[in-house]
Amino acid sequence: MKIAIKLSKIYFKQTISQFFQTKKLKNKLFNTLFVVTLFLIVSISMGFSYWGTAEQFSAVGKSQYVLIIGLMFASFLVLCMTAYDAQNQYYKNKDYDMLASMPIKTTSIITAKYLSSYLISQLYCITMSLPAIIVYFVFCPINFVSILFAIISLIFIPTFTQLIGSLFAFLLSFATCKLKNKNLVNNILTVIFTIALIVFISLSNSGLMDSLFAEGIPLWIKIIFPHVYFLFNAVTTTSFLPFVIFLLLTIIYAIISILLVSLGYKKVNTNQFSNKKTNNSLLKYKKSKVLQSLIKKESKTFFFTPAYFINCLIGPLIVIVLSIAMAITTNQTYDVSQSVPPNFYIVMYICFSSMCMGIANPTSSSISIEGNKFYSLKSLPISAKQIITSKMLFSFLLFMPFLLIGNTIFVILVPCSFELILMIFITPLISLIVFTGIGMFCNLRWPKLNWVNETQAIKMGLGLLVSMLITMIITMIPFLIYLFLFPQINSIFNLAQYFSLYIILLVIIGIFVYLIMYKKAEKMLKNIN
Amino acid sequence: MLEIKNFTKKYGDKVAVKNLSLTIENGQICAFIGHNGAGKTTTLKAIAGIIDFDGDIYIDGIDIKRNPIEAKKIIAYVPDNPDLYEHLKGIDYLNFIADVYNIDEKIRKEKIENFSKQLEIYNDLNSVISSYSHGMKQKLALISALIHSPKLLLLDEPFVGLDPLSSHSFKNIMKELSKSKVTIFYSTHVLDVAEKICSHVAIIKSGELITYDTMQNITNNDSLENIFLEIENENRN
Repeated sequence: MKIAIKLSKIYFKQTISQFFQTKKLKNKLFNTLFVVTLFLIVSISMGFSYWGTAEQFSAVGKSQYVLIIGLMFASFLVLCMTAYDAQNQYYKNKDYDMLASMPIKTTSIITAKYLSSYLISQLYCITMSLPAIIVYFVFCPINFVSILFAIISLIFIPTFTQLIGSLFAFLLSFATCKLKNKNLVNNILTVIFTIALIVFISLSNSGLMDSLFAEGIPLWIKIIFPHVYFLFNAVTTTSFLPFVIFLLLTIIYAIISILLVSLGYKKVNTNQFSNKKTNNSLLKYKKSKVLQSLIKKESKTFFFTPAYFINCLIGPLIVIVLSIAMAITTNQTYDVSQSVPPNFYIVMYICFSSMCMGIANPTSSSISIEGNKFYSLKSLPISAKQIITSKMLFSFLLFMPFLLIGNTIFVILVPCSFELILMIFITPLISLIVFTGIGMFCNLRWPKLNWVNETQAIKMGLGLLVSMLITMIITMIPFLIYLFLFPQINSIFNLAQYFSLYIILLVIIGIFVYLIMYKKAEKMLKNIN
Repeated sequence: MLEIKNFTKKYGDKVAVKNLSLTIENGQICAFIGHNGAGKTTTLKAIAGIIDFDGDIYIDGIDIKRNPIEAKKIIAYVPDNPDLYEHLKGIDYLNFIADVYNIDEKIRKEKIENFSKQLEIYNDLNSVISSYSHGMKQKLALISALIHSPKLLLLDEPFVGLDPLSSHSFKNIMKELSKSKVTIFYSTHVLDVAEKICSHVAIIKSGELITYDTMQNITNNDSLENIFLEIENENRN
């Protein structure tokens, strides 16, 4: 256990340094402030959303259910963000050989890894669930015991997402570790899992609200998420038994997670890089243009790096799911709902699909994912402009089909004017171009080449956080302005004109970013040491 | 071929290499030796145009700072622990490098076949790099450095990981390249090999060039290992 704690301290320090990427106190302070601001923005936005839900429940005297919604939503989101990371954390870490050669028990290694990945889940979980807890205490009676229960529970809630992540990582890695094309099969299965998860979340979310309004907590929550059910009971009734059951359940989740991963740790890791089969087919010496060759390299890296592939594909996949979900919601509420502004769902679709183009654009981690290979790339006679152009072109080529499919589905299902159809297609497309540039610029400015596993390169860089924040701000501003000021906006211009103005703004930002980036690319690339 | 003038590299307050000047002529094989952390890799990286530095470095008269692309066209650099694109096949990686240097299909085929057969990796070129051993990756990196017939070859500990047979083959390749006026500047800790194949030797200690001369002048009937140890001890005292 001592070794596990020492090792987890090392992982903990590593994780923290991955976030801040600097030794200078001034920069550390700036980065800390930035990360805290980012999480605060997300938390406050979540708080507003929970507030709205609580008001709806309050009207029917069921405001306590905002806690269920908050806990479920936090579990789902954290699950989406961390489930597939467990594979990298446990099975694709560069430190396997070193640790395996030492007299350390596998369970100690896994416990340390578990604790370090728990930290990230914890951070996300607090960001998502704390606002729900605060909103709950605003709408429901406060007492000391329930506050105590709620605070303690924050430490234990992520064990559930850790369990699902571990289970997924174990099953997938164990099943694919001996396959010839393990990365490809792994990627396909992870995409299927992610889509299934998104579909499950969409279906359960709409069903959950209806059930809570009609009859109370549905049975499936008690079965699939018993920890949420018992925690809800503990906080609302302030009785100890459900809280003890909640604690026991979460501890059992943690033990099962560690045991599961330990089971396959050695086997999966030893098979991970041992594909020795010789391919005797003829060698091909086909010549290509430099840019073409660079794009091919980008695509190989993308499609055969599971964490990179999944993290970046979530955005475009959400666009397609969003297009169907929005279209269904629009058609259901078109005539009946008076509480939302006209064309609200069209505005929402345009803004959110634009956001999906930027929140995890491949460019925001395409330099970091190169790791030490980037130094070899720098030694080749390729200009910085060629390198960044190839990375950005790959992003366009990758995201464009998803965008076109999503938009087409949406305009088929939702009747719109020709002008609006144009906006639905053009706005996310321009956003894609602009956010690709912003992602590239941020990764050039804050690259992260010295990583231990791919997830660190993809999800823990400051560049990624900055580009995510900029994307969120740029796409949420038109949405919020429309949401709160739609009568004034409608009196001045129609929706197509509103988005035309937004496009002009995007184009100006894009031109500015691309001009600076192409002007400073050589210098920025050289500064990456 | 290679002219280094007052090269200095600092990492923050720490001086990695201080005021290093060196000229290597065409066809020379120059061993670059020094203790760990002496500044060998930093110097090689600066010559390859990977890092910024103070001073001047010219490759065949081309300033690596002012005209990096042109300079890089005539050099090849192999790092000490080559991190290659693991998801590519060996042949795909070599084709990628050949594309960057705009090498014709006929020439790339000839070069790849020739070097990969000499280094005994030809039969593995259709496998993904992630399945390669360290030595195989090293061989692939070395072949990729030779595809475009560079005028200056920069190698950071090239023999690490190579099996005896491949090591022997690569020494022969280095000698052949030297005969055809290719300059080779490489860092190494294998002093007896350096003594056998190098025409010149440069010794660096704590970022400063201690000596640079022909192998014969430096060893003067003694072994390179003894000379190196003497220099190290002298400076230590």
